[in-house]
Amino acid sequence: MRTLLLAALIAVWALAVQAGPLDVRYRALPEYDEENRESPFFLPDSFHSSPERQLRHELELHAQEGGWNLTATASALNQEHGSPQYDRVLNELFLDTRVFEQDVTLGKKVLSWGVGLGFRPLDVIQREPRLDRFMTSPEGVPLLAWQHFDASTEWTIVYANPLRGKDNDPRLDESGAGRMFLTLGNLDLQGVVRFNERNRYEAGAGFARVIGDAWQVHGEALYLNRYERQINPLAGQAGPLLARIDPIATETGDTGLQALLGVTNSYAGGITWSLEIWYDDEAYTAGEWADLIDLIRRQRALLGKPGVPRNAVLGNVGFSSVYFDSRNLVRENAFVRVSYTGERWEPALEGLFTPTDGGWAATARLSYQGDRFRFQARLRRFGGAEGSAYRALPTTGSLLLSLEWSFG
Amino acid sequence: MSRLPIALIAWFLIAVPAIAQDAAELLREADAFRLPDASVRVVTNVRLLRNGALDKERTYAVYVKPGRKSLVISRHPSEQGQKILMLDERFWIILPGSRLPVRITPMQKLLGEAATGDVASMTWSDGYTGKIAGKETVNGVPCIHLTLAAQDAGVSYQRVELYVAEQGHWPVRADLYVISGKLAKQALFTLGDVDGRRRVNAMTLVDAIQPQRKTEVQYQSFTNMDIPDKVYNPAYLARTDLGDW
Repeated sequence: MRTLLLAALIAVWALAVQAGPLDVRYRALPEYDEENRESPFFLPDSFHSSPERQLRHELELHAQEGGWNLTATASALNQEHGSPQYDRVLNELFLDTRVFEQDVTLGKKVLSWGVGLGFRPLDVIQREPRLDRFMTSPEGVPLLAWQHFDASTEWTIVYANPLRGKDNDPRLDESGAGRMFLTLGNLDLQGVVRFNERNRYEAGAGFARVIGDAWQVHGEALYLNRYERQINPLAGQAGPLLARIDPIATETGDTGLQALLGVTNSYAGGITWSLEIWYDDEAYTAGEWADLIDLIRRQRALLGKPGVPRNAVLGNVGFSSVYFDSRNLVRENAFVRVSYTGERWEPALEGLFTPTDGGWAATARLSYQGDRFRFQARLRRFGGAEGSAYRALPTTGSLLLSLEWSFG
Repeated sequence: MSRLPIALIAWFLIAVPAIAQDAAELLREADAFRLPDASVRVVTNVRLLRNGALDKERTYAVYVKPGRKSLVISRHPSEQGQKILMLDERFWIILPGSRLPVRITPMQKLLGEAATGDVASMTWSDGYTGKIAGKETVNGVPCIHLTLAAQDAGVSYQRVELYVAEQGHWPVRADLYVISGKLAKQALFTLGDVDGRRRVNAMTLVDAIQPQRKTEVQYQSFTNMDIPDKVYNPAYLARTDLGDW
């Protein structure tokens, strides 16, 4: 049904724009994940579906004519164990146009407002992967937007995910949002507000300021009237160690904060470095990780005990892996990035540190931009102090390549 | 004897402003060969040559408005969606595959493929003050030599040595110096008929630091159009209906 709908939308679009310019891209994305057998969260293959090696093929269609835009992706995923999986995503299909002299947008579009590199609290409607561009094409959200611009100011009102209410995926929550953007000489300012059922309301502000030829300072902060996290209530408790069903519960917190401050400096030789620190109330504290890791270890200690089914223990371990789905694993983060921008090559090194638990994630990137060929490599390694979230990840690292050819 | 200082002062009061005014007028005349007064859309083809061989070719639509406002939109498939906005010496970029405009520093604009800055900056009179430095023959063309100093500290090229033809005042050559005082590029201009007018229809940039690199910029078409101010709002970069006006 979804395939038919996608095909119909493409056909409608093609008719509407009378076959405007098309751009087709093929991407091959081989990925290798190295298992961390020392991790308390490590599960044998029969208990999880994450393979060590996989190869994704993506065929992406881009088209634009006037204000009409289409991006759609069909993919095939070959995994080390298991049969190939096929998928298709309508990344974007929207119309930017003018109605009664007003700028409006209608359709599915990526809408991103944050200013940070490693974390963007102001991406309240849409989170755009700024550092992993081309590794994956972002999927927009259905929205209706009204915008008013003059030379230096922008006002936006957005109604996103119409009539969906509260969705299991926060990205798909029905919400109303507004933004005011203002550029004043070397300073860009913005204010954002969003209303939805999950958070009730969020309000934030951000800035980017250029100082001299080479320095840029940026920051953003978002107040969350309410926020949700997935919690294992068995962690930190003296009660039973194992749950019969998935114990993960949604915890609602009042008055959360997400904030980031960063600086970027560039040199004429091509070197750019950035430093960012941020805080995220939606993430877990070092203490919560310690409690969870302690619970997992005590659960694992039950393996082989009489009357304790192995599947029950490993199942409980698997339930707690939901902690790794958090946008930030730990609340306090520091991020550094150094890159060299050449004509075609751009190598970069990144380090993410979580000072409260001593964890880290190191990333090396290399990208090459040809005329119709683009190559990207991302090598990642996780580690840190005993008991830190990054050290506890069930993988010690990964290698992801992206080889992309454009035809258009 | 006592009349000499008075005569010198009188010469300074009358002649120096006249020379400065001449330089400003020469700049405006030279600019007119590169860009008409009105807001305009310039389709520009850029060929990067390395040791004489074609290394890269790009096509840009450049929307230029008086007051040093330029919006450069890449038309190349691998850079689909890339836009660079320049307001005076303030820069924003929206990268391919992104709908997030990002504020960048003047230094970041120069990193990597710098030709977009050279493509977007099409006038001197808005950002430089000039003075006549003498006369010289350049490539067989008798020229007036102008020394231009940037009015703004953030300008890519702090000094420009510009040579305009004595006959017609069209730009012949410009030597472009960065803030360190080093010669970065040399621009050579070619005149041709564009839309029924004699205009600069091509510019060749020779890299002074890497002389094996050469950039050929060809101005394929100029279309006068009324460009609303909102198009030069950085937030507008995320919109895609630029063709509607």
